[in-house]
Amino acid sequence: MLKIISRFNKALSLGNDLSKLIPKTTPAVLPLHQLTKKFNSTSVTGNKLMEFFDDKKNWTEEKVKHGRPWTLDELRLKSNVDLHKLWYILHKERNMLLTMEEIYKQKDLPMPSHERIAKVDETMENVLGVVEERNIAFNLLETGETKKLIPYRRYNSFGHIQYYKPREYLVPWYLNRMWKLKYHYKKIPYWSKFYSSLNRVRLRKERRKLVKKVDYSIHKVTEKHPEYAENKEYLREYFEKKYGYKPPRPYHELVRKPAPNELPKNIQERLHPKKQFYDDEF
Amino acid sequence: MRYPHLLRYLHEKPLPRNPLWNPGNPRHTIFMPLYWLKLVKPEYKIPKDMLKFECHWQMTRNDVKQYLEKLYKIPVLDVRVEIRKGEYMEHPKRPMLLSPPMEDRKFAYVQIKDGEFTFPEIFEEKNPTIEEKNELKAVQSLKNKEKNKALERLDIGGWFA
Repeated sequence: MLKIISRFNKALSLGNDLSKLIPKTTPAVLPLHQLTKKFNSTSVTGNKLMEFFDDKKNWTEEKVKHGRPWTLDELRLKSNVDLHKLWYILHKERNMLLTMEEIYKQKDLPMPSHERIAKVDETMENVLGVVEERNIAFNLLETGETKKLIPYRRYNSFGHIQYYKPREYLVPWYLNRMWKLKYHYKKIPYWSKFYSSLNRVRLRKERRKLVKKVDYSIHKVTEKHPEYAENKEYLREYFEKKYGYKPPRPYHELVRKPAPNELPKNIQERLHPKKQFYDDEF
Repeated sequence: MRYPHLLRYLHEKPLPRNPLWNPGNPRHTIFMPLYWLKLVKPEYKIPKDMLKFECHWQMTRNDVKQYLEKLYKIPVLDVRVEIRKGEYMEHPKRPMLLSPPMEDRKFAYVQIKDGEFTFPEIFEEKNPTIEEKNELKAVQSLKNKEKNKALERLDIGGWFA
């Protein structure tokens, strides 16, 4: 092997010394991470891996100073490129925190300010929310549809009401035989009416049992404490909640396919947030 | 313990479904991945150029490789994946009494192309002498005795003993 190399070098008129090929002087300025951090590992990849660990000052401290998570309103001001950069910074931060958590967990020690993980996660959820909003706005402008797969309730081939999560298929639904058998039988079978009525009777019976239970408990309470007889409505509410009674639902209103331009529920709540009442004001 | 999906952290949730792909179409790119990796101290001795990571339970070995190469700029030679089953917690006095199983964990053993790494010691410990060790042991045994007094009488409750 050496002979071959020497022949090859002679041809290049370099002589037998291979050292000519290697530059003698090392680069004057090392990269920053090599200068600042000197750990057990000496190689470059080893220093890159130190990104998985927290700063050396924070290893033995009880608390670490940190800020609050990014809110939705702050992130809405940022451009797409900025969000994309922030996403990867958050990724590195979270990986670091998770490794540190694992180290402390194996030592049975509390991690210094472990709430940082939840805060990073919250910002990431907010970033995803902003991206989702922009996607929907873009799609509505371009096509008039949100292109979101919103779950809804529908009748299946047995005539039952089923919670259905739509998803992508490679084939359109009218060519997909299994899907049609499950969810889109041409005509709901005639016996399904009888079957569903039996089901409704069963539900009604169970509901009736709970109502009887509630009535009996109200009767017992009012026997013992006759002063509660005035507030029977409150008692009913209390016991219904206790025994898990639910009033009959309007089934046919529940079965509704969302329109293609309808916003998903989490974004509708952001547009019209619920009023939070305190105990003092009514 | 396990929580329902909606109450979990983002990194504990299952990954969303990827869009479908047909042969002939251009490859999809993920702009906002939901993966995570954590460096773990290996229990047994492994070669110096090998790293042990814990990863999201839905990540493949290709995902781990690309995540390290693109985010951390670490050239990767090989990735091997191991799934460890979640263990049951056993009661010390009643071996038939088992807890629900803990969550399964996925580990990735990564071989770097060049360079080596040794896991840094975060808690610097001095080696205690034999006398100190014995003292510590005696104190610990006393503590354990007091703690486990009520183990035989579980029905009564710890405060009663």
